[in-house]
Amino acid sequence: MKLSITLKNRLSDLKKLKAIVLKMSESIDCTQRKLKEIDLILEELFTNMVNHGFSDNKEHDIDISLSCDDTDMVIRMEDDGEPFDINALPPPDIRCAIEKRGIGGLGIHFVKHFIDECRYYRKKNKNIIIMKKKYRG
Amino acid sequence: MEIFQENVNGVEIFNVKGSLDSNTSPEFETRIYTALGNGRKKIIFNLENLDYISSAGIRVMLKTTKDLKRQNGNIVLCSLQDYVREVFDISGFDGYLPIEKNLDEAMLKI
Repeated sequence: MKLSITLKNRLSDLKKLKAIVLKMSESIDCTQRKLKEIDLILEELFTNMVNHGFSDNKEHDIDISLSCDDTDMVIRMEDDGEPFDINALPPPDIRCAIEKRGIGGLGIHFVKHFIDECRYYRKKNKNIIIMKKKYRG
Repeated sequence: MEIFQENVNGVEIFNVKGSLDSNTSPEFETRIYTALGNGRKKIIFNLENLDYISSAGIRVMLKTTKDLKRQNGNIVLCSLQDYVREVFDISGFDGYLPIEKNLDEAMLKI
């Protein structure tokens, strides 16, 4: 089972992304809990790219595909945004005093927490992220 | 997302239902800051019916917590579903405010 979608770099397209997660869930044996984790991973990846990935004010495509076998989902995201190696980002300091605590930087931290494998590479001026999420077994 | 707001003995209770994501969190933030603007300093977030939260929702709660602490206000969370609890835990929230099992215990704590 494979579903693909091309989104624009605007937050309103998040609804389309959530719709294909829902569509995928109808074809796989996945708990509500795992579905929420997958929803979170995709929302954070997408919104991070929309909010931080592009420095011109132009419209860009963000291609996302989901492929499932009986136990794993492979998530692939490709875009022509600024280079962004998810694995190189340091974790936020979540134990500092509240006065010093920043309010951002958590999205990618959540992605890393809920994903099982993650690869990043840059090819022809594009970011390609491939992730594996075990949703069953 | 739906928000049912009530005021009990000066405590502003936000009962949040559904999904706090990048699209719905701005409205949540507006509702909170309207209450703060009206002088509310004790806030409970009752998350019994909150099914989903992303970093956008967490960001609003962190901002509220920081602002309320600065004004010597009080904030308590209660009734978190398992998924929501895990997201709060990995955000480090337990170090900043009480997270109670239910609304009664939250009312005792605040």
